[in-house]
Amino acid sequence: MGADLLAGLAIVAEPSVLLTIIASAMFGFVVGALPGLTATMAVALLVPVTFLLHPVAAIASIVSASAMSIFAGDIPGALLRMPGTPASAAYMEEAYALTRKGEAGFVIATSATTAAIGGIFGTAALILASPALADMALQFSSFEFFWLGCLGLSCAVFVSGDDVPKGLIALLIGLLISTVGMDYGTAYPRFTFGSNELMDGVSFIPALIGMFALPEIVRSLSSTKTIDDVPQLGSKESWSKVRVALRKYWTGALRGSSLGTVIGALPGAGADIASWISFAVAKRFSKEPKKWGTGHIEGIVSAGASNNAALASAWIPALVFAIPGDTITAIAIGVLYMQGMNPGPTIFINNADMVYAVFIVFLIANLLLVPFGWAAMRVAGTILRIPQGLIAPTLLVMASIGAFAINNDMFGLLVMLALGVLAFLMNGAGLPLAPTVLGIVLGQIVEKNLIQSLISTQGDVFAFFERPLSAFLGVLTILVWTVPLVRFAYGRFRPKVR
Amino acid sequence: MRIGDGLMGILVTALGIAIFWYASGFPNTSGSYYGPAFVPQIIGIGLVICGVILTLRGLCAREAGSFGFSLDYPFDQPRAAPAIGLVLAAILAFVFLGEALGFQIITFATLLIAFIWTRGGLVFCASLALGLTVAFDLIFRVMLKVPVPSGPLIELIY
Repeated sequence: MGADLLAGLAIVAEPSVLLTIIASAMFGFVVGALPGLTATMAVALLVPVTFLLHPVAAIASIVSASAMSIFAGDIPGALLRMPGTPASAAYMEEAYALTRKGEAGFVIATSATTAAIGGIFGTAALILASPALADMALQFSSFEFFWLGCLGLSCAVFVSGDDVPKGLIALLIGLLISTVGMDYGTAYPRFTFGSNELMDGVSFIPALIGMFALPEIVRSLSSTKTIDDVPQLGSKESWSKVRVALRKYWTGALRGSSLGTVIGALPGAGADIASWISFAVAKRFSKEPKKWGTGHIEGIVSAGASNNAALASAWIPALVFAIPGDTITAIAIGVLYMQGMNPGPTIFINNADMVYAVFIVFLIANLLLVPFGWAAMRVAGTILRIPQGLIAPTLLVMASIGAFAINNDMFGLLVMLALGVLAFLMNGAGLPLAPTVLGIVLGQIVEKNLIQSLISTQGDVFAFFERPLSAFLGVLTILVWTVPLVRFAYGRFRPKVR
Repeated sequence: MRIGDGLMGILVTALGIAIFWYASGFPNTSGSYYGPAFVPQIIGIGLVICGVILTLRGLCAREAGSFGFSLDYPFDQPRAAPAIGLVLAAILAFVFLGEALGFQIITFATLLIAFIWTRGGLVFCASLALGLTVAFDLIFRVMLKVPVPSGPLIELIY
């Protein structure tokens, strides 16, 4: 291992590789910070460039761009209430509330630092426990994935506020949107109303832009108050607050990193689910529950770390078994094959130095998050000083082009508009948007695994609890739903102490 | 905008019934219980239950706005209607005129109209709108290779 590590270090120390890492980080930063453009898109756009690069530089570009764009996705969420990625939507409300208190720099610096911590934690797991974690991930069947999806959906309902019926309605609306398109089992088109564009379902990114960006743009254009009325913290104060937050919530960062690492290693789960579950767990175990929803950093520490930890650990099944952990690693596997580094157990024998070089690239890419976070913090102050009358129309154009860019199709703009109107009505009714977003993201995964499991067991519900892992996740999901109900009943019916 | 719980409950219940009814028309070609209607019907039932809870809550609250809706800040401002109109017009222009006019022209027009409305000053607004249009074109079309339609500008650009 030592010799391979040194050989890997020598490969990464090549100026061309280092330059590629920095250039890709800058590219990922720009793409991630643009609303509507995802980390997956940043990686996909890099693929043609990777043909021209050395194998390690090619992988380095993907690693570096994806790590940076996932972090950069937090920036528009914090500054403009427009999440750059589905993962950053989990804690966007808290981040934006902090910005409105004048703590935008603090949010971005915390986000960058915790992303770096999570990323390094995930990379350490990738280095030390790849085979063991990959083995565990491979034991997951449709039952476990169904329960994991349910756990994610449950978390969304409980993190969204105290009003469970409203959270549930929002979740059901999200699940309903996820059923649009061809049915998994029979390919029957559901709720498409004759539209070919809806056959593949509602495109997620235009939906996300519509739900979060459009109401905010209309609000900004209609409002006479501006956020720049609030004085923002300086760079020095922001970093000192980050240190305090990390000392106070270090367990949250550790828990988020661990959860992100485990969830990221599951094929098909990825950073989005990791972020939402980490945020929900942090809220559940918080010692300051009353601060949540008013601009509280604890959830950002936990979920921010989880994002990048998951990003790193998604490479575990990718490298060890050539099974993509998420869309980014699916692209990365293709690039690995094209560069002659066939992923699978033999990669550690045939290309050990290359694999360790990739690990070192991960560490560098995650360390780069901190200086990039510092730069973003400096820019944030300028962005917040720009009058809303100039920002809102600019965002409208960015959102429209972003919605088009996902499938290079005008239909994305109509999806954005429809979901924008829906979000406007939901805001009016006090329905939280977060469960709807997660319903859209996880709906197809949950339905697919539910139907697959039911068909394979001919409708035997007890089969969902037969496998140990499945039983554990199932009981956990049921507890998540029943414990608040029992508490509520206990609080309501216990004898009053005089 | 503020929609009362009671009104929202009725709307959600109606949506749930509509979904259940519509999904019951899905053919079950697989012959199993778990056809295309299975999950949508569960969702429909869930919406009906939650809708009824909200309606009952609205009835129990006996508040004036439980079964109505009202506009709150900033949507009660005179700027709200033109703001909504501007956003709708811009998106629909991109959708229906995007191919004919090109994204660049619609981007410039949208930004110019919005800037003049919010800030005033034709020269400043036109310069800013032009600068941003060029920047967006460079970022999306040139750098990120997004094939945005360019309309009559296509020969000038390529």
